[in-house]
Amino acid sequence: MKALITSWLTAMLLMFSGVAQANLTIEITRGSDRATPVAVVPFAGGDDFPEDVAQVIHDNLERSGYFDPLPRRQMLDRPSESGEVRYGNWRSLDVRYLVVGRASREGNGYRLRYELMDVSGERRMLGEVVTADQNELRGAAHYISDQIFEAITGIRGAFATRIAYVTAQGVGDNMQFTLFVADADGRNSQQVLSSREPILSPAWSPDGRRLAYVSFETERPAIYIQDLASGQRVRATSFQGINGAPAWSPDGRRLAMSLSKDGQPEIYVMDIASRSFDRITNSSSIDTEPDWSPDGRSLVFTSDRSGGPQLYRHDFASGQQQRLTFTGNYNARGRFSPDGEAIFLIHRSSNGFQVARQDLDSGRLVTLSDSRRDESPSVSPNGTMVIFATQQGNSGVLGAVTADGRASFRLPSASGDVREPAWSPFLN
Amino acid sequence: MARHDPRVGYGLPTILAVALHLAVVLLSVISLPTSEPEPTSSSIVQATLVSTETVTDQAQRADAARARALARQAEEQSEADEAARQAEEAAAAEQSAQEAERDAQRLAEEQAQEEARLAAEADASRRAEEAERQAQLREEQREQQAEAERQRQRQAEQEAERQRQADAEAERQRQAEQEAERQRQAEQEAERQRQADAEAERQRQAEAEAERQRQTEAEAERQRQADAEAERQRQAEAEAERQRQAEAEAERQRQAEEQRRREQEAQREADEAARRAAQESEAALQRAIEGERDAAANARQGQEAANSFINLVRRAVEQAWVIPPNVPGGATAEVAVRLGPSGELFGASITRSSGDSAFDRSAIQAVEAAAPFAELRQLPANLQRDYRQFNLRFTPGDVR
Repeated sequence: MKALITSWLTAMLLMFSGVAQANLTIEITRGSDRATPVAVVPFAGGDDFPEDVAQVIHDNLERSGYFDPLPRRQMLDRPSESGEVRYGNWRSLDVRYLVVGRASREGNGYRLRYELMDVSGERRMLGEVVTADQNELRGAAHYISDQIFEAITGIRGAFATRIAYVTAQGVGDNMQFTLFVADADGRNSQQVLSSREPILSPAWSPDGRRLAYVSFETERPAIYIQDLASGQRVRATSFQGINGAPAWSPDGRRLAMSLSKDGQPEIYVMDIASRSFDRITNSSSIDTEPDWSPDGRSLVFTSDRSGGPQLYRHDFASGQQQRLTFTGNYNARGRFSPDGEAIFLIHRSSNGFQVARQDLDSGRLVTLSDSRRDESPSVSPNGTMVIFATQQGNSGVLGAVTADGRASFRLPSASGDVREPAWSPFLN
Repeated sequence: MARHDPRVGYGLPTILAVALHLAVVLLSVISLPTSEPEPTSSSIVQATLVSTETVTDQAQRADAARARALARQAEEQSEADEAARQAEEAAAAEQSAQEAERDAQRLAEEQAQEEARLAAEADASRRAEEAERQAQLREEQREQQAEAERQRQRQAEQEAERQRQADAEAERQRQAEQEAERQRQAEQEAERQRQADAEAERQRQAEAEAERQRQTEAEAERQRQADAEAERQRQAEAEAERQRQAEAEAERQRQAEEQRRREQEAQREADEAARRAAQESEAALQRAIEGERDAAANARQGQEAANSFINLVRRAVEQAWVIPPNVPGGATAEVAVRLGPSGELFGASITRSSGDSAFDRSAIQAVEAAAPFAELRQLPANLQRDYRQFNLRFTPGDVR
């Protein structure tokens, strides 16, 4: 009797442990934070094109810091459509995503057909035909890069955006300053303005059609607003003293700026239509470099009212100003992330001036770049990258770093000193 | 329970009498405003109607009260039809109430004959008071009776208590029940007598005394019988106990024999099962039923093999997992994995999303890249099925 009960209990126990095994959960807590391995196979039929579309996509994905594209020489085969893909080949190369495509001429333009595959799942994730005018081949490649980036990461791509920057050439009295606008990868640059006097602080309007900047061409700094398509411009301010650091409100109707017309540089907000001014700061210290929060309800700016430069936040509703940065004795040039949850800034540490990110909730500051003389950070419209000016040798170059600091790179160097980069908003 | 019956029996008449009294008083009060005869002129029909309505309403309420009183009386009568021979006063009260009812009806209908109604009222009032006095008298008698009854009850209970101590439990129970039954019968008898002899109080007390006497005698008799019965019971139980012990001993021996036989059987079957184990898919369960020692050993071995398999899966998946950048803090995704018999991946699906599509896909890809899990084949055959389905919970530690 007892033996029967015992064996019955044992049987029940095993049955229950069988159920438990069916719900067995294995904890996975370690993984690689390396960039995701991908491959962009050269597009079939595009050999004689002025641009290697697959290479543009390859470079874009690589620069994003999210991806590690496979070098072409390691590819075992070169399929041009999903039906030709032998997944085993790509699995053996540990490629997770594969881009294949076919290119052809169509009239005066081009026809690009591309597909994105999830290699380990052997799934086709994306497929599209893109047509491009003669001069838009790179633009089409940027567009395809955006689609791929978003399909994999869930984040809108920002490859088809632009950057503005200023170069300085020559020495002494022969200095020449030029304001450029280029693709986000630094290519396809176009001159906006050239002057023998300094040009500073270009700022994109929220619609991406105008630039505000500071020019010394009249021997006194003045803020101009220039329409990029027509080249027409207006002078917004030309007060005595400093007229600097323009920043567009999110609705595009106001400019925040720093003016010293009343003594020390102070923050003002100008209504562009009426040219009326609101004075935001009133202190005996320097207040400059304003930037609007994405919701338009506050400004961040740099002030040395506590001794050294630190970031402060002005809340429009309450009129209160609150210090934001407390790490180190130099934090300047704050720029909001697009989601408003972090601020990118220049932080001075024992390693010099570096791009850093401060989380607004926690107040934690993380250094992102590994260079030593960084300035003028500007955030990509999708918040994944920060572009900044830095020094390479004796000349200024543009650098970029991912918003989490995992990857950084230099943009192709324009001739001369490059400074004051500004990343455009989304343009389509 | 039986003790409360008399109270209920006399409570109703009391309530009835009070209600009747109240009804009569109410009627006398509310009828005063209507004492003036209504003019019959047709020119004030409306005013008359209003007044009539008011009076009619009040009369209806009086009617209702009386009707309720009547109903209760009827109820009472039906409840105790042995009490049909109730006191004449009660009958008279009923009659007068009916008379008053008729009077009131006449009054309500005709609004005349006020004097007759007043007389009837006074009469009803007098008779109601009389009935009430009678009822009170009966109540007192009933309470005395109940007190005597309670006295008897206490004695009976003490008696029953002594018996319970003496008797076996089942016997005691039955005895108490019989006792209660007799008690109830005695009470019913007393009740009948009380109801019959409403006026002959002293005689009834004498009878009750005689009843108590009989009760006491019956009690003594019952006790004697009970003692004798208890003695018989004890002897019978002692005999039964001896019988049971003998049987239990035999049963124990039989069980021991059975156990030895079954253990030998289990041992044989366990050996058999060990040889069969490799081919049997349900082997673990079968062996568990067949022998606990064998099952425990297998479970230990199986657990070791399973742990090794789990570690292999964990290592392979962690190695293949490329955590995407900018993962939101605290992101966790769960993936349900199904394997084929050789460890090949049949399916991997998100059962709990992190909310971040890139993160979810990275988890799926990690499983897909780590598969196949050929180590499944190294598990004991009976465990392979259990480990062809499992969950993976992806939670990155510090990504940076």
